[in-house]
Amino acid sequence: MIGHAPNKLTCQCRAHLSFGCGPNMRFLPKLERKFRRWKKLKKPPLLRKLDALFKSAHKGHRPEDSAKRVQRENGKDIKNELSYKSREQFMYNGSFHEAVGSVLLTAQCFALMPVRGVTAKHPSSLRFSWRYVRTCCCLLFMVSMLINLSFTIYKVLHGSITFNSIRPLIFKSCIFLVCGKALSLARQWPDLMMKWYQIEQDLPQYQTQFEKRRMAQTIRMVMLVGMMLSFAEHLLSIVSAINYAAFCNRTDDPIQNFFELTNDEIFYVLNYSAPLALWGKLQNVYSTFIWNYMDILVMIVSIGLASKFRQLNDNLLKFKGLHMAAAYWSERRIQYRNICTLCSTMDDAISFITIISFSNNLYFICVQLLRSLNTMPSVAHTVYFYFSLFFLIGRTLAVSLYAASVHDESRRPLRYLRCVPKESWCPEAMRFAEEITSDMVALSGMKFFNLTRKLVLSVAGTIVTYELVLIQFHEDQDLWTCDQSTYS
Amino acid sequence: MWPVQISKQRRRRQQQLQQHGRALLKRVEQRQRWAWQATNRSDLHDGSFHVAISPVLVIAQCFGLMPVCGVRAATSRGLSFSRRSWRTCYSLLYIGAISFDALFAVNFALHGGLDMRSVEPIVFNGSILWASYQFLQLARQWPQLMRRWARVESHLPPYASWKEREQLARRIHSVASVLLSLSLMEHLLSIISSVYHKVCPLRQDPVESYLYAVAVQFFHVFPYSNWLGWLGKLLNVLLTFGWNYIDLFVILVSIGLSHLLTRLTRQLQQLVERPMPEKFWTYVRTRYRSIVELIYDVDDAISGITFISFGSNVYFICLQLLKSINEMPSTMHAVYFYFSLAFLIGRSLSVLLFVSAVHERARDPLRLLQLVPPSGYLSEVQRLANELSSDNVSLSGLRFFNVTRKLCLTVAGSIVTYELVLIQFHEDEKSWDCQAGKQ
Repeated sequence: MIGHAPNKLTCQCRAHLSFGCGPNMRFLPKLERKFRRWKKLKKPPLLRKLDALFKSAHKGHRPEDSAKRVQRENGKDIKNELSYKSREQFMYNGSFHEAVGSVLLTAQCFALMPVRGVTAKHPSSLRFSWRYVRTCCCLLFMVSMLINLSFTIYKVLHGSITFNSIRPLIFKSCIFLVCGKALSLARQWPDLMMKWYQIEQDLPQYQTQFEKRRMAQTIRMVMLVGMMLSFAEHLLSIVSAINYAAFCNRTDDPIQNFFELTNDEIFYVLNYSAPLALWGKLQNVYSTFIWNYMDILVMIVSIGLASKFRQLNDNLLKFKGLHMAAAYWSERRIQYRNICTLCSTMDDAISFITIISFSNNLYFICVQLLRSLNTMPSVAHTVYFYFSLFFLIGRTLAVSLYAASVHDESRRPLRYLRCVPKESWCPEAMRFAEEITSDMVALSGMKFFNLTRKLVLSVAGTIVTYELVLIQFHEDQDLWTCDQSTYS
Repeated sequence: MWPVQISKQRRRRQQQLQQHGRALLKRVEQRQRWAWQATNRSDLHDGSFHVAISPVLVIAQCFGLMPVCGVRAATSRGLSFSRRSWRTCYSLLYIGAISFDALFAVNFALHGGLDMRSVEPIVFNGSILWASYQFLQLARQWPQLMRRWARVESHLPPYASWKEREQLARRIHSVASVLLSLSLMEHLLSIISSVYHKVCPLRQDPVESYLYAVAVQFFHVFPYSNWLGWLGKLLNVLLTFGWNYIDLFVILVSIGLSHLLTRLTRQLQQLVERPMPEKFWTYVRTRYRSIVELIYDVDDAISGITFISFGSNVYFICLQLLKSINEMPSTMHAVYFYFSLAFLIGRSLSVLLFVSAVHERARDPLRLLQLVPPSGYLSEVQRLANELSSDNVSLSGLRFFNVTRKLCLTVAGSIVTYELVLIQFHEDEKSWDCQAGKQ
C-alpha cells in the first residue's frame, strides 16, 4: 500500500511544500493524507523495517487473507476460487463462529445483528460499520418500529389500561429494546468472536468430524425447529384473524377488514390505505420473528458455551482416575478459567436480552393462561390459541433448560477431580477443585437471577401464584364481539 | 508426561490380560452359570440390595412395572433385560391399556369444564403413564445399575454379624409391607364407602352401580356393559397400585443408598478417634467416592420417577385438602376420606424423609472427621473433609430440586399458599352431588 510509488509521492509532496502550505493543511484533506504518507517515509529505515515486521506478523493471524494475496500476486482470478473448492472448506473446525453463521445470516434478513462476514471461515473477517447497508436497514427498521410503538401507546392510553390491554405495548416495546440491544451486540460481535476463537483454539480438540459437527448441528436444529414452529404459529394467527375479520365484516373489502383487525393501532389514528396496511403487516412479521429470535439467541449462546465446557469435560473424562502430571491439571485449569471468563463476557453482552426474554415469556404465559378461561369463538381460534400457548411454554422451558445446561456442564469437572488418585493429587488439582466449588458459572439476567435448573421450578411457582390471584379478578369476556380491544 | 504413563499402563494391562485372560474368561463363564442356576434362599442371602429388593420387584412385575428378567437370581449377574421377553410385552400391554384409559379420561374431563377438580383423573392417569414409561426405561438400565451397586457393596467393610447383614432386607420388607397393606386398606375402604353407602345409585344393582362409577370414563362413550365395567375396575386396581408403587420404589432405593453410607460411617465411627495410617483414609475416601458416584448414577436413572412422585403428591394433597371443606354424606365416607387424606400426607412425608436421609447420611462422616486427633490429621483427611463439605450429595427431581429436609417446609409452605388462594373461590358444591356424578 505504502511503497508502491514512493518517488512520485515524495516529488509531489515536496512540490506542495515548496508552495508553502505547511503541515497544517486542514482545508485540503487529500493533500494532507499524502503529506502524512510522506512523513512516514521520513522515518529512519530501522523503524520502517520494524513497522513492516509488525504488520506482517499481524497479518499472519489471517491465513485465508494471506492465501488470497498470494493468489492475487500469482495472477489467479478470484472467481476460479469459487468453482474449485477444496475439501478443507467443507470440513468443520468446530468453532462457534462457524456454527452460528447461518443463524446470524437469517437474523440479518430480519434487521438484526448487522455484522458483515458472518459466513466467513474465520472470525477475523467480521466487520461492523455504521455505513453498511445492513446497519442502515436495521436503523430504518428501528425508526419504523418507534413510529408503530407511538401509535400503540396512543391507542392504549386512550382505552382503559388493564393487564390484558397493555399486551401489544409490552410486546412492541420489548422488541424495540431487543433491536437496540442487538445493534450494540453487533458492534461487540467481532471482538467477542475473536476472543471466542482464541479460547477455542486453546481447548483440547476433538478428533473426529462427527464430534466437531455436533454443536453446529444442535444449533441449526434449534434454529430450524424454532423458526418452523413460529412460522406455523404466525400462519395460524393469520387464519384465525381472517376468520374473525370475515365474521365482523365492517367494510365490503375483505382485505381491508383483515388489515384493520391486525393493525388496529395504525388505523385507530390514520385512515385506511393500502401502503400503510402493507407496512403494518411487514412490521408485524418482523416483530414476530424478532420476538422468537431473542429466545433463540439466548439458547444458541448457551448451547455454544455448554458445548465448550463439554469439550473440556470429555477430555477430563478420558483421563478420569488415571495418574496425571501436575502440568496436565494446570493446563486444564487455565482452559476452564478461560471458558469461565468467556461465559461472563458473553453474559455481560447478552444478559439484557436474557432478562427481556424471560420477563416477556413470564408475562405472556400469564396472559395466555388467563385467556384460556374464555370460551373460544371458533375452532380456528381454539387451535391457534392452544398451539401458541404450548409453543410459548415449550419455548420458555427450552430457553431455561438450555441456559441451565451451562451451569450443569461447568460443575461436571468436579466429579472427575474427585476421582484423582492420591499419588497425583497435587496443589494444582486442589486449586482447580476449589475454584469450581467456589465459583458460580452461569448465564444470568442482568445478575438479578442466575439461570440454573432450580430457576425453572421457581418461575413455574411464580406463574401459578400470579395466575391464581389474577383469576379472581377475571371476568369472562365475550370474544365474539367485534370490539377491537379484545382482539390482538 | 501423561501420554507416556498411559501407554505404560495400557501395556501392563495388556500383558496381564494375555496371562490371565483365558483363566479369567473361564471363571466369569462359570460364575454366570452359577448365577443362573442358583436360586435365592433367604438363609443364604448376602445382605445385598439386589436380594433385598427382589420380592418387591416381583410384586411390581405382577402389576406390569419394571420388566427385568432374573430378579430372583442369587446375584446381580443373573439380571438381564430383553425387549422380547414376556415381561416386557406385559409391561407394554399395560402402558397401552392405561394410555387408552387416559384418553378416555381426557375425553370425559373435557366434556365437563376444566378446573382444579375435574383434571384429577387426567393428572392421575398422566402421572402413572409417565412413571410406567420411566420404569420401562429404568428396567433397561437396571442390570447395569445393580452390577455397579454390587461392586460398590463388595468393597465396603464386611458385616459384623448376621443381624447386621439382614438389617437392610428387614427394613425394606417391613416398609414395603406396611405401605402396600395400607394402600390395600385404603382401596378396600374406598370400595366399601361407595358400594354400601351410595348416595345416589346410578343403577339398580349396587355392584353394577359401583362399576359404573369406577369406569365412568368408558360409559361416557359406550353404553353400559358388565365386562367393560370389570375391565375398568381392573385398570383402576392396576393404576392404584402403580400410584402407590411410585412412592414405594423411591423410598426403597433411598433406603438402599443410605444403608451403603451407614455401613461406611459405622466403620469410621469405631476407628476415627485413633490415629490411622494414610492408607486407611485413602480407603475411606475412595469408598465414599464410589458410593457418591453410585448415588449420582442412580439419581440420573430414577430422578424422573422422583419428580413425578413429588409433583403428584403435592397436587393430590392440595385437592384433598380442598375437598375436606365439603360436607360428607355419611360416616363411612368421612372415615374413608380422612383415612385416605392421612395416608396421603403420611406417605408423602415418608417419601420426603426417607429420600432426604440420603443427604443426611452423606453429611455424617463430616461430623466424625472433626474427631480425628491432630496426629492423624493427614492430607487425605483434609481432602476428604473438603470434598464432604463442598459436595451436595442428594437425590433430586430431574435436578430441578434437591431432596433435603429443607424441601419439606418449602413444599408445605407452597401447599398452604395455594390452598388459601383456592379456598377463596371455592364454592361449597357437594362433591358427592348426584348431578355432578351424572355429568
